[in-house]
Amino acid sequence: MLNKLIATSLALGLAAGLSLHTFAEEELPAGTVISADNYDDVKDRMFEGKTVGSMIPERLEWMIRERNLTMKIRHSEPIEMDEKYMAATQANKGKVKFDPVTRQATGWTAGMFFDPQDIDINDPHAGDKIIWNLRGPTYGATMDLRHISFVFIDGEKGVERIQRWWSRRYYMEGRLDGGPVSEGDGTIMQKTILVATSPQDIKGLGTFSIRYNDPSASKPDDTWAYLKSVRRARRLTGSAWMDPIGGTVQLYDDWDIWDAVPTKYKSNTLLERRWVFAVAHSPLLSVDLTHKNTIKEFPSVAMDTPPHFYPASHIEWEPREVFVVEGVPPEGHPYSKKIVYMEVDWPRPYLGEAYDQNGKFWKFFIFQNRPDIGDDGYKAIMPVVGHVIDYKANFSTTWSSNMKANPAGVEEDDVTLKQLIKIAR
Amino acid sequence: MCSSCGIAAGTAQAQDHDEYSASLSGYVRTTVGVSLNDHDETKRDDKWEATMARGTLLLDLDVYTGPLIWKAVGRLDKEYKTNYLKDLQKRADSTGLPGDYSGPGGDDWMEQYDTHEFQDWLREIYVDFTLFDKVDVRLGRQQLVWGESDFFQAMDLVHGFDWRWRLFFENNEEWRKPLYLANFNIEFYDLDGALNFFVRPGLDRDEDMGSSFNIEGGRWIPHPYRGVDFTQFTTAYETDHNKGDWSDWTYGIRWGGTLGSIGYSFAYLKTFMPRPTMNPNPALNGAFGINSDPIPYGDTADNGAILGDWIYPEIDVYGFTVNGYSSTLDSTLSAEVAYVPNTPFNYGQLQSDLPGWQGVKEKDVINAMLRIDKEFKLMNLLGTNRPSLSSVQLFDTWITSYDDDDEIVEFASFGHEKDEHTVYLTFFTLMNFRRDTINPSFVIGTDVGNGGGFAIPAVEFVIGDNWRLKVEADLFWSDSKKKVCGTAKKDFSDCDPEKGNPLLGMRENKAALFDWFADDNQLVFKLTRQF
Repeated sequence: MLNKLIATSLALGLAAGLSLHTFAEEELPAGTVISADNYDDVKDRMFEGKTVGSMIPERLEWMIRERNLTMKIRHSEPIEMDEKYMAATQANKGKVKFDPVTRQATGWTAGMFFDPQDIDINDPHAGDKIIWNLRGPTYGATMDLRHISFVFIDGEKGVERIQRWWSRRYYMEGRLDGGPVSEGDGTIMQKTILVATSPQDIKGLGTFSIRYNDPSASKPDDTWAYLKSVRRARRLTGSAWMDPIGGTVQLYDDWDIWDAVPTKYKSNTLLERRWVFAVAHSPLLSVDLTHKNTIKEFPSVAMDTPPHFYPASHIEWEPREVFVVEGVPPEGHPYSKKIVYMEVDWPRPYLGEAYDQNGKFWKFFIFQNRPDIGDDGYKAIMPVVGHVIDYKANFSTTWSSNMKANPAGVEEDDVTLKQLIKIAR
Repeated sequence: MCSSCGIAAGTAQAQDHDEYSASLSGYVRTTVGVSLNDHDETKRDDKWEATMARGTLLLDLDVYTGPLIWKAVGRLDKEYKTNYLKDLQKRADSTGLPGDYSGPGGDDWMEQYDTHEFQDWLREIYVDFTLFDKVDVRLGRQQLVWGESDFFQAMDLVHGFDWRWRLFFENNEEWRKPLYLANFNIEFYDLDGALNFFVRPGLDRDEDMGSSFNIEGGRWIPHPYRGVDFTQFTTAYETDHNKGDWSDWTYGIRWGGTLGSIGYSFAYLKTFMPRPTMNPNPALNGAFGINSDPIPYGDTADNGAILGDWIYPEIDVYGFTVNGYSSTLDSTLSAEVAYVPNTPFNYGQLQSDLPGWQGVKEKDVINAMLRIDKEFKLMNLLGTNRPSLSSVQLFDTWITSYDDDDEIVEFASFGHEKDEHTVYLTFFTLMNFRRDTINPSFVIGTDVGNGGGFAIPAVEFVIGDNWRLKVEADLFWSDSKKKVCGTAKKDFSDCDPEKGNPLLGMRENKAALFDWFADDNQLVFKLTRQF
């Protein structure tokens, strides 16, 4: 009798264990919505050969468990970066030189500075090299942030206000749009206009900045602010690059989660190479002007669901393999450190973390990205929605844009101080 | 683009709108000023009286029609006549003489503040287009700003300002007087610069000329002249004088560019002196304490005005600006120099009731500005959400051919003799809290040579997309308060009743700019609903 009981118990136990094992091994279906309610149930489930929990960084898990973040998951899909970009990367081999002493990289023409496949995770300068790769933007030679709006969102009360802006960035080097790869005399890296168009009290308030092609990053940006209220452009300080954009919680330095060249920072350290869930296939339309001044204007943001500033429920997260780089900004910067999660195959930031000067977690960045075909046929990958969340204030400024790569007809002359003044009318 | 037809929509192409579209925005605003002082010129105690109760509707229209981009800005202002303004009008009316807005036969006192003509309402209307892909053109009634200086005008002399309804620390945008201009801008990319030139073909109204200083005796004419309407006994303004004919074309040309990271500009401007100049009646000898024949400036004031004609003489201005960022100081440095040869100043008769009424002397003047801007990172100390832009500026007016015996004055009818250098030191800081929804600011300035100054603490509240509330205090201090003696004076204890005309104030020669406003401390509340 005893033996029978033992045998039965063992059989049941084995069966239960087998059942559990089978359940854990079973692929979590695409379309599953990960939330606080089911996180413990799904974290050990498999998805594309990896456990779900292994693809959710600590801060993201905290947001799911404690701050009502939900993630609808989908299968990953290969993304093809433009052939010219990848070919230029290969062409850089042997030409781009990295000086470990100064951390400066020289000899670059276009594409990535360093082929990511060649980056040794044990290289003490791997972080610098990955951030250098950001100099070769994946969104094309001209960044047209069409219809961009910053929505100020309180985590409890919802939308507080909407600022509409106009923005364009023009790279003077590394251009792969069929024209010259480098324009000008080679001294300028990129030029950016950012100007408010609404509401009325900030309409015509804008900045024009020039970032110089200086591997040491010692030459400060030249930045002008145009104030329509006095109808005059005023020179700003060279440290404006680390200031917030207007009243938003996003710094200019958070432009694409990470905007500074490596030598602006004290150090850039590659922490790991891992998989994370990220938004790499955001819908084509991020700003629906047919629903202007309603929350439907921003369909990719869950403005009707507390805390109102996360990706909308239909936005799908997919596994992406990323480099995780930690940077230590210079003195005077609001952050003590910033962490970026960036695609391994090309420099596309997906997620980021920022810490205050006391080392406390402050902000999280979720950038929704999607592939885009530029007007010139260029295959780009670009951010289209940026959730910049200040967790100390439970507040976000989330921008959305119908961004366009390499818009036709835009020339260097279209991104100048004069153009800023013309637009800020 | 339409290169073949020579006109291109450079701006239209660049912006986020359809080729043919329009957008309208604007605001409704009420502004209330409350005096913190009693004013000697009125019998009522003015402390806590409303000196201004103003309502404004502004409409800002952008219209895109292919290569042509249109702009129209309409502003409708209407003020409630407060008891303070009633008192000033009563005093102005008491002379029995007709003025521009006072005197017998009418009650149009508020027209100096209200919108009462179509062109008062339609402040700006212009069209933008690009010629030959190269030349940006703006035609129409517009505002054009040159120069670098804050608060004071060195090269920002294309337009005059309407100082009558509001004074101190309001946006220049709101009180600059737009003009009909043909404005051209050509970019020279190879030279890192642009050439801007304009002509004003003289299509503007007389009231758009120069700056308006409320010589009608309203709330911002300096003490002791509140309620003294100078337009009753002067011509305001003589607009076709041979020294300043409003129908003359004026023009300017400016080259602005960068050398490395240094921004600079050179400019020449033919414009009108923004400050009105008195062309005195030569027959005044023996009246109001004047003891010699006043000397006409150009054409004699011959149109029957008792005291003379106010004119805006034409001047030539040669300017230079430079700016750059210093990494060492982590600051932006700016400088501006404007040379104005033959600047007209009223002079003489300083012991009379009409100081400056002897005539006009021309002096070569250099206006120079030095400024340092710095962003203070007060986020941890005060909790601001971003660095606080702060600025210190020194502005000097240097009369290069100054003579101690010149007896020139800042403004006719004020007897303080102008110094060789008049230096103003100003400072401002702007702070932003709670993501720019609570924005305190502080401005302070002083006349270094003559003493006196102003301080303006303010805070603006940003409430959602639509509502804005600003509260500010305009505070003045002075070294030597002048007194009004005569019938308007309530307290005669320190006045010589034998001295001075009751309507023109006493003969005093000490009060400089900030002394004129010594009793003008006020609170201002501005509530805006924008759309």
